[in-house]
Amino acid sequence: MSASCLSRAALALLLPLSLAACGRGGSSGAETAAPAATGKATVVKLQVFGDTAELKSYRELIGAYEAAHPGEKVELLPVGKQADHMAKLSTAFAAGNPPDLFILNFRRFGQFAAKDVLLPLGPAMSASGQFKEEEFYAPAVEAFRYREQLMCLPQNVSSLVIYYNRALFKQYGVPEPQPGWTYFKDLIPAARLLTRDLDGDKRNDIHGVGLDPLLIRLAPFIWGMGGELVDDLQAPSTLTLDRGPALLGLNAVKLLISRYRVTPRLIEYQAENNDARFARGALGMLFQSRRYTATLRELEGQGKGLDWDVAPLPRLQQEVGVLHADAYCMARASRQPQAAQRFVAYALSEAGQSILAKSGRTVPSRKTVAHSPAFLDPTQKPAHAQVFLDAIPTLRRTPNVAVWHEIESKADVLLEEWFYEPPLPGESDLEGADTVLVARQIRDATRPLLAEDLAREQARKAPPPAAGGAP
Amino acid sequence: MNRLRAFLHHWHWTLPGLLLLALLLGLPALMALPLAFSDFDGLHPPRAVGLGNLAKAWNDPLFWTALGNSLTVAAWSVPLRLLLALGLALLLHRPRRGVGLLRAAALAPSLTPDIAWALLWLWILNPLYGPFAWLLGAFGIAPDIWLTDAVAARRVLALIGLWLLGELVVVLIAARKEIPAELYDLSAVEGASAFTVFRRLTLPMLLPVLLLLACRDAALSFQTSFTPALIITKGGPQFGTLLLPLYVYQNGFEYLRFGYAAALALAMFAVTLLMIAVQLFWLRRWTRLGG
Repeated sequence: MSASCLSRAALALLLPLSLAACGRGGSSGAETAAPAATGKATVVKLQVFGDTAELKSYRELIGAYEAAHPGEKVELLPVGKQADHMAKLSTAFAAGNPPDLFILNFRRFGQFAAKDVLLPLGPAMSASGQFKEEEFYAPAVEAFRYREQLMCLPQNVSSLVIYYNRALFKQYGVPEPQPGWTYFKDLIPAARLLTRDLDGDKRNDIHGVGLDPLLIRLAPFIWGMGGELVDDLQAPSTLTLDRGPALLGLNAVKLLISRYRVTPRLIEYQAENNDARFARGALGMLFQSRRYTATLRELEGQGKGLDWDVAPLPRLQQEVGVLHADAYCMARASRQPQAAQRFVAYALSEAGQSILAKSGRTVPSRKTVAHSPAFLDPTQKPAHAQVFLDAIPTLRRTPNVAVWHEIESKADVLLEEWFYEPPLPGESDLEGADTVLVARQIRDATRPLLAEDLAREQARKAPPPAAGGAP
Repeated sequence: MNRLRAFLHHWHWTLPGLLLLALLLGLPALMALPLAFSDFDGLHPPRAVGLGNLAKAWNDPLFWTALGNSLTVAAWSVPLRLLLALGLALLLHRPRRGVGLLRAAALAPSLTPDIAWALLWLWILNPLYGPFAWLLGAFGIAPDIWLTDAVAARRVLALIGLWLLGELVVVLIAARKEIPAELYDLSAVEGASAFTVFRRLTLPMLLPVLLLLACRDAALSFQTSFTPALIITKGGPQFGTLLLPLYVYQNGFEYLRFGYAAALALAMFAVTLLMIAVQLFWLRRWTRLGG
């Protein structure tokens, strides 16, 4: 047994996973013969994550594919949470038995792309005419390009928007968000009007706005004030949250809690997350992506629906949004590469994308479907679904580096502490000394990770030593 | 042949369990050992890095934070759990009406899947809507900071771990039943008080078992704290409940640093051994001194 196999065996026993894959080696080998020739169904394994509403739409997609392609089967491997999805994927890869296809978020995809375990779907499917790049939104496509190769094919091109409770806006006479609204002049005053202590217990029962203090949520504020997340999007060496405009963006967020108190405090946030609070009708506005639409529609189906809609992100100094995209990725070790590509081609076709779009879960990456009634259905909420499409030209993204997820994990812990802590003694919320402090802490905590990643990339690019060695 | 028979006579009940343990725990642990000295992401063959991972852990502030947190939680939970288990065992060892039900109640949390009781605790400890907050509120105490303050959150984890004492209670009840009744009769004749009986008779007789359980519990506390740290506190606030097993899990399964995670697990194993050695030394010394 090779060292590699031994290590995999150790992991497989620890996890506990099958050892069968070790004898197989890691490569895909020849694909099973076409189903018609063998009489056996070709089974493609697809691992996805999502809540019940999202998983239901994947099942519908698979059902439609199997009906259109007799003899082909797709086995869905559903996982509830993205973190568990990643853990399951990594153990499956470690055991030498990854699913043929899996969904990856663009912020996590670098982790796998950098390890060279993904089969570049772009070139493979473009060559066979199954994928035409120009038919899809560029920001989503570009997010999955790694070392100039299109590794995964985007299923959606979502972004951060404002979900708002129309009933609360009407009840308190607050004007609804309009296109071109701004953060300081419109969102904050609206949030203040919506924030209410209904029973006089000195605790707000309705909060104006909910925002999870995570790096990905704060990114549009940083960009909106002219700041940057990193020094170089292609080859970042440091986070730049501690530089002037980025600090302004962070301070703008902190005002929500430190000065205006329009967002739940830490104890309230821990007792009930913002998604649940909004669904309960106790939050006026919520910063969330398209995925949340499926959840709200599911609640409507259960008779617990709200009167809600979406609005674009309010403008700071610049109009900017943050990309939220997932894509179909294929393992290099897939045993059914051709069948897997056929499924991806269907999932990204007008028929396939329409199924997911109707569930409300995705903003389709295919332009024609995004502009079709499947997505812009006027009978379905949100009424202003066009907001998601209008945001696409302004979308920016985080870097595609292998350690990005780890960077976000570390930064998020520090950002949560910073957001909920009161300003440092003797400092006003506008001075933002605590913001400078946290930005530097994040920079210092994440710099070794980026340095490690850069060094790995440089080692990869370095020419191999000449035969015979140096003179 | 006779020796083999004698060996089998003594070991035939435990051998299947030991074999399973060796296969499912011992062997993987041994096979994971080389990973600690390699750079392994689970996707490519491991690359030997010697002591690189251990050096990295030495310079990793989060490793030290996680180690400190784990030791703090263990320092709270192990003695408290043993004390509580001992008390329950002494209360429940005599056959009385309803005692079976009480024993089952003591054992039940240990039989419940970790994820189930962690979710239950998540609800109980909800700072605004949980029964714990409601109970405190009834006494005029405002919902406090048990999950928002690092020190308090660590204590909460230790308290949650207290309920996993079912096996300890069962073993201690069995051990208490092994103490000859004549000794208690003799003590009664001598007019010894209940406290004297406990201090001079029950405790010394139970000490070997307590010693064994303390060692087992110390080792186990590192493992059992993983689920609540993952589900209830998620390592927060401010890394305050980032425990070693959780940090190992994050490095291995979230960041694909299996080699580093194995090195951290090795360090955790070494710390566990050290904790057990200290306990053994201390308890043996105490026994020798006639405590």
